[in-house]
Amino acid sequence: MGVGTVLARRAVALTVALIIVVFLTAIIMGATGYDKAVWQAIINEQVRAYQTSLLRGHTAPEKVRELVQQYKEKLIKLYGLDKPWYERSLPLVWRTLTFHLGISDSYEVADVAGVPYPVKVSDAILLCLPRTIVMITIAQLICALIALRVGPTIAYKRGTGFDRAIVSYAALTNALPVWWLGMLMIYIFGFRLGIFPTDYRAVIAYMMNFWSKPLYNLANIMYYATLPIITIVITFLGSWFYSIRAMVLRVVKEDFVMVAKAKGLPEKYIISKHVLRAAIPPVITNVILSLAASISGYIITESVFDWPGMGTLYWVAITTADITTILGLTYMFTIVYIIGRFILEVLYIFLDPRVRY
Amino acid sequence: MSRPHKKSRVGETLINWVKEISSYTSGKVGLALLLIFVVISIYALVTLPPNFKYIWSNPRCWQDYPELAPPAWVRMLGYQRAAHKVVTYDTPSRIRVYGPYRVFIYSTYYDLDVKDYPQDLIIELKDVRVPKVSGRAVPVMLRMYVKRPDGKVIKVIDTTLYFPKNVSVAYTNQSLVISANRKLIVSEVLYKVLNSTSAQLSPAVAVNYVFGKLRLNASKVIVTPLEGTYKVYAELYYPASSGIINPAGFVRLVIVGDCYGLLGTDNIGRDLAQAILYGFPIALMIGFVTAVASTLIGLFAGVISAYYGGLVDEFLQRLIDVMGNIPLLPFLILLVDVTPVEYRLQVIMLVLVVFGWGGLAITVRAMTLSIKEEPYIEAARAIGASNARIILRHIVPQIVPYATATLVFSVPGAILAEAGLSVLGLEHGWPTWGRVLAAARMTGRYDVWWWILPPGILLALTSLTFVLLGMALETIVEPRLRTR
Repeated sequence: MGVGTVLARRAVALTVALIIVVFLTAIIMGATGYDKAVWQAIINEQVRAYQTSLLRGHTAPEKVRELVQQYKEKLIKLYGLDKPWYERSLPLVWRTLTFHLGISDSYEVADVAGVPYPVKVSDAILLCLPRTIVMITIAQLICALIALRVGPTIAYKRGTGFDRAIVSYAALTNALPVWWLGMLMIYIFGFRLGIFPTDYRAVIAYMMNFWSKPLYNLANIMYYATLPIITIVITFLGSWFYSIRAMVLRVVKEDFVMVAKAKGLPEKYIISKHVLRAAIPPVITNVILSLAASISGYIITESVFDWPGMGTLYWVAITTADITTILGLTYMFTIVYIIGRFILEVLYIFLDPRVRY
Repeated sequence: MSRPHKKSRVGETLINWVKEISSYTSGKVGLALLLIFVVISIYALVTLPPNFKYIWSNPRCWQDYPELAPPAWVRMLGYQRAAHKVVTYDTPSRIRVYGPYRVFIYSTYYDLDVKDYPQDLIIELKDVRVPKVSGRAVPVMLRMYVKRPDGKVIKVIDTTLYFPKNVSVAYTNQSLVISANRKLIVSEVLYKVLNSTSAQLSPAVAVNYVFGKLRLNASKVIVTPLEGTYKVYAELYYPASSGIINPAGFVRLVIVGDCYGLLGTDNIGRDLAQAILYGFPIALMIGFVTAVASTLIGLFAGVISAYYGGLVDEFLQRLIDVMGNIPLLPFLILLVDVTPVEYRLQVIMLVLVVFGWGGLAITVRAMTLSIKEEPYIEAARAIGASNARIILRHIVPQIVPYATATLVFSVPGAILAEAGLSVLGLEHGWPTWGRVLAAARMTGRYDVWWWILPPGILLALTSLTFVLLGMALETIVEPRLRTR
């Protein structure tokens, strides 16, 4: 099989996964009656408002009852509640897959996005994505950079006190829930010491008008993002160290490294030319997968910091039962993740000549 | 790789493993921690009531506990926190006669030795005998007093108990809980301590007046704690003609302090130590069930995929592919959110099992592919061993060590997932460490350290235990990682 065929096959598998995710999400919400209850509540709300307005307009009571009934039936038809759930869900799936994500019904979603109600789901996502990148993706990148710089050296010095210290640190922080550390950090550095903010929603203003005063806004964004970034880096650096160390260790024991050592090559040269090169595919996998997962994987942490990113947006959509936003965000999360996986497949073929299917 | 074991050797193998694990420092620490966790879990299951789940979520059960009280041991560190005192009686301390009444007195002493006030005064009654005079139930007066170190006596409860008609013993199932009457205290303090009618007293802090030195400054009252020994006593007035000698099977006087127990209390007075204790068996259960189930599925899916090959292999590999491409957390949150509260914990575990076996299956498949080609497998097949026998007796035992390491590593996953979802705000009704943290987060009290720290530290310790064990196991099954 040629490279093209392999990539095409992978692309098909990934696309299928994407479609399945959207279908599954719609089915979960449809088949459990979740969406019906949500629409029912919305209809009741609108009908009540309509009835109040009619009564204020001094319409005769019998007439009001009749009009309200008609209005209710109209809404039920409009939201498709008279049809079985799959007839409601399927068009929704199709609209989502073709990027017609629709308009959010939730005030809270508009609030997280930082714009007036109602907000288009695609706009909300585009507004929140950069905020998540500023906080979580940057934190992951910092971890990756530090780990790539230090990891190989640890592997080379295994068994020493330094190695033990790093491994203990990895074990300790791997065990630490990042959102719990976040709670502690907010308390210590926010409430107690007052160095960092306690209300992170305020970052919206600086992100939205970034280009009006770039330097001033950048400084403010950094003021808001530093504590979450420090929290994430502290918790995840350990496992980054550990996994890169493990990957490099596997290579260090290979024969060609022994040969290089036997040839008397300097250690630095062996690390950069022989060890790192061979260890790069799994390391890259680690980097890309965690970057791809960083968009969706920090819902709890974002919510603890009340950081107005994709995670908080999703959680707010869940609490306000905003079906369009839930579906749209799930779609986006999966797309980002899948694009990451696909980039990985492509890179693999170039980085590791042994990968030929 | 070890040779396939006979069943009788399983115990021996386990002992060997434990020996080998404990030859590593990380393994030793991990095993010790695991042992502690298991012992505490068993202790929790034995000592806590079986309906603790409902007790925890019922505020009525926590009425005579202090609210937001730090652990009692902070007093030893010099913190000024009034002690909590509970005295239980099955017979009255003293009986005196007062006109036509027989008065049953329950009394105790309370030492206020710090610059602080208790939160409340409570009397709890159960199995109260109903006095009958000529066949009719008559009401009973209940009064509670505090005699201060300065000799002043303040009435804190003055009420009448009315009983249902046709019973001889009342409050048999649920006890009657009465706390200090704030308005009564204010009027008592005005009249007996301050001798003033113009002073401004606030019923909200009435208990402070009972245990405080009061000073009038214009019409404002300044309160400072009055240290010393207080006598707290309650009186029950029964008609002497009813012939009752012991009025109640259970009477409890509670001086609700400002600190409590081993781990303090939360905002509705729940004893955090109990929830933390109950969290041990639940956490281990969630972690182990999920890890064992997903490891078993991964193990057999991997072996079957490699052993049979063809369509089965293709199907399983594509399935793993698709599952690996689903961002799990948003999916899990949605699924838990649409589930009714009483099934949520099960759904969390189920989703983690369903999505958790793919990684192991891929590795196991690769291992099986090479084992499959070994000559002894061919020999087994040649003498007519069935596929099931070959898989179970010759292939699986060789993969078990690796699968065990994976299992141990994956135990904390479900525990942390449950805690995370709880903290996020998804209720599941069980008192777990995550729920304790969630309650702290919902009330926004990040500053209450005894509420935030213990559950978080325990979550971290649990995962640390399994990470350490896993690391030791990994070194055993993957000799390349050995440092010696």
